Amino acid sequence: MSILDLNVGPQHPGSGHMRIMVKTDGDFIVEATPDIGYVHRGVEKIAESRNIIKNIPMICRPNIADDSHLNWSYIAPIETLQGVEVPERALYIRTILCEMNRIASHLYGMAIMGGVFSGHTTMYMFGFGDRELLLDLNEMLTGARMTFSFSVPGGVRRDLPGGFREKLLDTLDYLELHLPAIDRIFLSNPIFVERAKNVGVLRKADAVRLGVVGPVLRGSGVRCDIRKDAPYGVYDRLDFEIPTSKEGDSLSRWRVRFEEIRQSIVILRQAIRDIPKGPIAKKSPIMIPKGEAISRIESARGEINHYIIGDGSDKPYRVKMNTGSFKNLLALPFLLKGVHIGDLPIIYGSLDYWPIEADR
Amino acid sequence: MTAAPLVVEERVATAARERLGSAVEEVKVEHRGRISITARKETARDVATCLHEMGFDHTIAVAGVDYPVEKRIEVIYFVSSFSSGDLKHVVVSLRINLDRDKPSMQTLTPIWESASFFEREAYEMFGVDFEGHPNLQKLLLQDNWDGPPPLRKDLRIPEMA
Repeated sequence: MSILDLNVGPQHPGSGHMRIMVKTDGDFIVEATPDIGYVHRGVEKIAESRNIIKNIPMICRPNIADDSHLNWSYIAPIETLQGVEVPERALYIRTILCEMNRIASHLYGMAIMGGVFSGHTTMYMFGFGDRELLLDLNEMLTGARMTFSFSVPGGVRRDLPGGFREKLLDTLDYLELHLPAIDRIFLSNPIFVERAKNVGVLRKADAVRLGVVGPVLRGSGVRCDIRKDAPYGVYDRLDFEIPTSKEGDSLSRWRVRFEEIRQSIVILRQAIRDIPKGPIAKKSPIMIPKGEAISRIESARGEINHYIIGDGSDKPYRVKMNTGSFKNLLALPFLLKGVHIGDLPIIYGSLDYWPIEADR
Repeated sequence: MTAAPLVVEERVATAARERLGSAVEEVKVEHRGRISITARKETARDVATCLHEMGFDHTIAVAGVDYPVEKRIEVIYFVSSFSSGDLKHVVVSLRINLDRDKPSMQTLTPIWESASFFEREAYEMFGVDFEGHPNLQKLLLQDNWDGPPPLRKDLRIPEMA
């Protein structure tokens, strides 16, 4: 038996900004060790030196596909400590932006991590084409296509612009029409099914033990979603389902994300219908009172938390940032053990891992 | 937000007090969904085992905090539950205070495997030695980093001037 060491990454096309150190015996992976930190920028350290408002863009940057969830997660503990009650309308606008982000992020994931990693060019084009429509909506609402840094303590920065509602509903109508095509051509495609079904199986007990979150967790049959379990914002007033799948393989993780797009459309329709009139922000002081708080927000990649300690100044004493990708990384070495080297891109892709978010 | 009575939180706190007795310094219900437990480093393992048995099956985060004036480093394990329906909204923060000059404690990774990478992060960022950790190596920092643990307060970055 001869063991061959193989580096997957850290150059970008194969793994994102990370390296997977793989030991192979012939065609099989004996052991895989993720080596991360290539894009570690010390966000937590820098955050201690800046005032809470200046921190917002930096804290949101680690995940450009899912900016608004990191934003909300960072703002929430500050609002808790300040005791600011955010106006209803602002909470609805945040929800609308977050759900648009979730759809865009899942489409992005399906395009790159699902489509490109399995050599499926049409999914790549479909994903990016449809995502474009959501980026247009983002731009209309926030002024930026990604990385909007839109929520501030006390509310949001801008109100819904004229014509937004109509454009959003048009986009949702289109998406609902196009999703069956994505299903037919990608998720139910016999070639993709053959490659992803029963590959990288994460059983329910292992998912719980490893503490994975988001679609990876729900793909293993655990019905957990912070939007339902510990509702924040206005999620307790919205009616939606949590899609799960029992199989726990790579295909079911993509299925869960696909169904989540459908649920996000349901949420968006309700939110844009129910959004009340009123102010979009309340005045909040530029300081964090003494104390500590931790947020729980369901992002596209699972539960994220910001643990923030305030000391009464305008800078946080400590910011601890936990992201879905960092928690899901623990599943990677577990899933890669004993599989064909050819299945590595499929399994790695199905975790929808975002290296920058994990490295911070 | 409705001010529902904290039934679950109080039940968990009471059970923890009864089962752990003198192993914990303080058990406190902070507000809805948040319970704080302070343990000594000698008893952290027992408290963790007990919490795991009560249904808190995974860590959602492990945070280190440096308090140079008080000469301590606090390690906080935030744990929650996937499997017990009524515990899903509860986060227990298990706090352990360590001596800043030589911070060390027994690893809790054997109890919560999800803490594995978090502990490695606290090790490199705060210099906390988790005794018995299966693979206590640097995770995010580059291998040749030889400065002080970067998230300690004595490392100043240019922006702090």
